[in-house]
Formats: sequence, structure tokens, C-alpha cells
Amino acid sequence: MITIKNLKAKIGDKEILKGLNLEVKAGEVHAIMGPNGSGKSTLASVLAGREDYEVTEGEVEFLGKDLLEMEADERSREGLFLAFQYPVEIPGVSMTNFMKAAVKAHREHKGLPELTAKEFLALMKEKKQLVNMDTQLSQRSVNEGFSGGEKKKNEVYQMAMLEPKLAILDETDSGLDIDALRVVADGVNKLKTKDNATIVITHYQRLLDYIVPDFVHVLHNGRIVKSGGKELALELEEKGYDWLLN
Amino acid sequence: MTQASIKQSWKEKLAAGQALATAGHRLSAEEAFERLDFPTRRDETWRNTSVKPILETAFGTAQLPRLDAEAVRALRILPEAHLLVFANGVFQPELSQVHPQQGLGLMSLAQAKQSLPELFAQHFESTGLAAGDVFAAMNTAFSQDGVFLHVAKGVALERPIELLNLTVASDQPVLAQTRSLMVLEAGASARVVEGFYHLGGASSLTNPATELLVAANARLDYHRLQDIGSQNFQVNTLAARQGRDSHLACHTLTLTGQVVKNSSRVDVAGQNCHTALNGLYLTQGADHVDNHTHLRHLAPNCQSKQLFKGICADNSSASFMGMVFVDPIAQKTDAYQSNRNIVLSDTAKVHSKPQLEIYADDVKCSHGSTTGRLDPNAQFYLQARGIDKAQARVLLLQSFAAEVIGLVELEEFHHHAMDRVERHLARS
Repeated sequence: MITIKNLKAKIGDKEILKGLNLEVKAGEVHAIMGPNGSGKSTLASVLAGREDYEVTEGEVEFLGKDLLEMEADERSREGLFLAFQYPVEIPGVSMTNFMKAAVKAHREHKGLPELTAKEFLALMKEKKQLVNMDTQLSQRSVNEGFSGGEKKKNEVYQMAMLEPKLAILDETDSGLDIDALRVVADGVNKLKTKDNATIVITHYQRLLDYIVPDFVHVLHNGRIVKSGGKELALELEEKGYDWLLN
Repeated sequence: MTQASIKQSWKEKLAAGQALATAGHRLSAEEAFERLDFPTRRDETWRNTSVKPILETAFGTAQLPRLDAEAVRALRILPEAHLLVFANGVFQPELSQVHPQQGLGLMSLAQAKQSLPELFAQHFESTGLAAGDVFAAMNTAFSQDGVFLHVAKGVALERPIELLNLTVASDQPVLAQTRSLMVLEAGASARVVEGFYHLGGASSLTNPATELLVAANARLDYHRLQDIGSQNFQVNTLAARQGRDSHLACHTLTLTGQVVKNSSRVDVAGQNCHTALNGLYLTQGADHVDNHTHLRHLAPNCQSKQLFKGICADNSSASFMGMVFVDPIAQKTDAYQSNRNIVLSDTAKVHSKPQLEIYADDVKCSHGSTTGRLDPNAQFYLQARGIDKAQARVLLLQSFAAEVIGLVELEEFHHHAMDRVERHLARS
């Protein structure tokens, strides 16, 4: 699915990723954990194509294509999805118009005809149920005035609408109470198939009780310093990160 | 040319026929026109707008244009509405259509002066529009025609009114003006849409002036669309007066113009009034749009809202200056004023100056102004969902603009405005 080799990236003069290697195959769930400032969110941003970051070395192959050559919107249409840690409020753009534009772009890319208004509304309704999203929310502007939980549900709802090949969940658990966390995790699990993959970026083990990873990686100082199975997350929960970093 | 010779030349072009104003108004307005200098950047209300390109234009004598009925029809927004068409300041009865309704007086102002002399004398220049402003004085002194609207007490107009204010130049620039007087008696209501367009030839300067008199319990929704083209000038003066419990909403959408200056003054003279002044301007190329509002709260318990938004591209510029004045008597005033702008280039310029002058102590007044770039985080968020950069930009700008257009209640104008804005932004 995705192969990251020796990825180095900086923002301004500050190098944050310092040679990161990772391979994720279809059907797998990978968790990336690590202390604050280790480069977790930078990795998510670089993969999604945020322009603030400059990739200085390395390569990323996504479904046989050079990911780093693509604009952010191309990456999305090719099947990469980033669930934002801080979803952006966009006053004036309704959720419906936003999703209509996004779905249209994705379908065009796949050579599929545009959905009729009726088909589109049916699709929205179906996907909203997946995350118990309040029908009212889709009438409102994108994320405007949404609570923390609503914003994260909204990310998973968008993921459901776009059915990505690879989803990257950036600290999706932050700011969620346990009920919202369960709803969000349920949604992600329902979207899982043998053909797609998920990278869960998280600081805490908590989310991994609900989205169970096949592999856990510890990121520190811009590199993956340890990889293991799901039991590694429990070990980190118990011992913290210090034992790994020294 | 000196100021005096410019004025002399303009007067010759404008004052060839029968003036509208009665002798007294005409004399004092002409005196003001002769006496007042053209504004310079030292004048507070013209600080950000230069009249130099206007003064440097050599205007010719306006020809009476031949208008293609099909071209006029294509400009219409409200096919069912009453329609009055003016070209180079001259009424075009054969292109106009008024559907009779009891209590509606809708005709050219020159005709109203003849057939309804008492109403004309009572209301013309009753807002004191000509005082202190050379362009408004020019309009008052020399205007020969324009719109007259009278809605009788308690009458709600079924159809909206559409006004087309057109200029057509030959190979010489054309100078034209119209004078509008709209009177809503107590409890009356009306919706008016006025479009300003330049149909071709050399450039034009239009100097329209409008008086809106909204009596107790009346409601007027006035909309203007300025799309005069990037080589043309407009100085547009509006003065309104509201009686108690009345509603007045003025929506101004400015799409093109080398220099467009809108000066709007509203006197809220009765209690419990609602006033909305809204504007949206999209400037491109070297266009310049200047909105100046002066809202005077002269009675207690009134509410006013002003929202002006602009999107400025290329080398264009825009200015907003808004003054909210609250008289000592105007307790419990609730006044809100906001100006927000997006600049799309390094060379686009915005000047913004919202102002409050409050002499009452129990009021709720606020104002704000922001000018910035398109939010890169919002743009990235849309891109991250597969929407390409150009479309993400258009989507964000549309939604920025939609906040102003969303305040328009007249559905046809709302849709037309949104459509025009979308097409305009897609091109920019």
C-alpha cells in the first residue's frame, strides 16, 4: 500500500523527520506512538501534502505511484485520507456543498458519473448513520461551532464518504470523552476491509483498545526506534517512553 | 483644465434641457456646485479615492442612444417586475413597463413633476442631499430625469420594481446622471432592484442620486448592482430618511468600475426602526470601489446593522468608511458595523475605517474590521478531501461573499447575485 523510505522533512530550518522507514500493506492497521515533538503529526502532514513542510530526502511510494510528486488534492483522489487532529472551521461552506464537491472530484478521477442529487443525499444519510452524526450538522458550515467530539465524528464521516485506501488518523482520540471515542473507533472499524489500511497516530494507548493495531511503532526524534505487535502499546502504557529513548 | 472650466464644461453637457429642480433648489444647488471644490485626498470622505482620472476625462456631448430591446431584456433580473429604463440619463418609455396597481405611482421624475406637483414639491431634495457635496449638488442642480416611486399609505407592492440605468457612449466619453425619488407612505412596502451598466463605446461617468423616504411602519428593500465596466466611473449618492417603526434595507453589489464611489446617508428619525446597509465588492484589475456610509440614529430604540465585505485582486483597491452617529436622544440604540476584506494579491489595497460617534449612554454599539488573505488552513483542508486548489479557492471566496448575499430576502436578486459572484470569482 505505502512504502516510506528514509524520509527526511523540515519546517523552516528545523529538521523534524530524520530518516523514517515504514511499510504498510493492505488489510493492516499500524499504530504510530511517541512522545510530544517526536514528529508524529509532521509525518501525517507530510504524507497528506501540507506545503509548510519541505521534504529534503527519501521517497514515498503509494499504490505504485510517487506520492511526494502529487498535490494534496491528488493524494486524496488517489485514496489517501488524513483525519485531522484539528479539523478546520470553514464559515459559509456548508457540509453538504463541501462533500458534494469532494465526492464529485473523487468520482471524476475514477471516471464515474456524477451522482444525482437523490443518490448523493442517500449516500450522506447512510454514512452519517455510521458515526451517529446528527442530521443537523450537515446543514451547518464545515466544523463551525462543532464540539470537539462532533469535529472528530465529522472526520470519520468524511472518511466514510470518500472510502480511502489508506486512512491516517492523526490524534483522533484527543479531546474525546469515552463515548465519543467509542463511536469514532466503531466507525473506523466498520470501514475496515482487507483492501484498505489504517495508520493510527496517537500519544496514548487508550484508542488502541478500540482500534486494535497489527503493528505498533515508536517514533522518536524523527525516526522509528522500535516496532512490535499490539502488546508493545501496552508495554508503553505501563512503562512510558523513557526506557526506549535512553 | 482648471476646476472652473471643468465645471463649466460639465454643466454645458448636463444642463441642456429642462431641469427637474424647482428654482429655489436649483439656484442653491448650482451655487453649491460653483462654490465647492472637487474633493481631494485631503477631504476626510475622499481620502482613499482620487477624482483625478474623472477630472482628466474629456466628456463629449451625449448622443441619444439607440437601444436594442433584446440587449436590455438580457440585463433583466426580474422579468415579472415593473421596469423603468434610462439611457444616458434619458427615460426610455418604449422599453419600460409599469403594471398598474392601486396606490402605486411609478413614472419618470420629470413626469411626476408635471402630474403630481404637490408630492414632487413636498419631497424633492427634502433630505438636503445637495448640501456640502459637489457631485450631489451637480445632480440636484442639473438632473433632468430619473425615477419617481410613490407607494400610498398601507399599500404593499405585489411586484418588485426593476430599474435599469444604462450608459452608451459614442467615440467620446459620456457624462450622465439620474435623480431618483422614492416615497413610501405609512405602512407601505416595496422592493426595488437597480442595475447600473455601461453598454459600450468610450467611457462614462454616471452621477446618480437617490432619495428614499420611508414613512412610519413602511418597509423598503433597495438593491443595487453596479457592473459598469473597468473603464468607467460612478459617483453614487444616496440619502434616506426613516419614520418610526420602519424598515430599510440597502444592498449594494459592486462588480466592476474604474472608480465607484458610493456615499450613503441614512437618518433614522423615528423610534423602533430597523436599518440594514450591506455591501459586497469584488475588485479586479485596477478597479477601485469606495463605500462611505453615514448612519445617524436620531431616535431611541432603533437597530442598525451594516455588513460590507470585499474581495480585492490584482492591483485593485477598495475603501470602506462607515460612521455611526448616535444622538443624545437615541437611547437603546443597537448598532453594529462590520467590514471584512480578503486581498488576493500583494498589490491589492484595502482601506477600512469604521467609526462610532456616540452621545447617548445607554446603547449597544460595536464595530469591527478585518483584512487578510485567504485562510491557507481552510484551503488545505478542502484540498485534503480531493478538491483541487483553484476550486477550493473559489469555494472559500464564494462562501465569504455568500454571507452578504445571504442577507438579501428578494429571492430572484439573491440567486442572480450569487450566480454573478460565482462567475466573477471563477474568472479571477
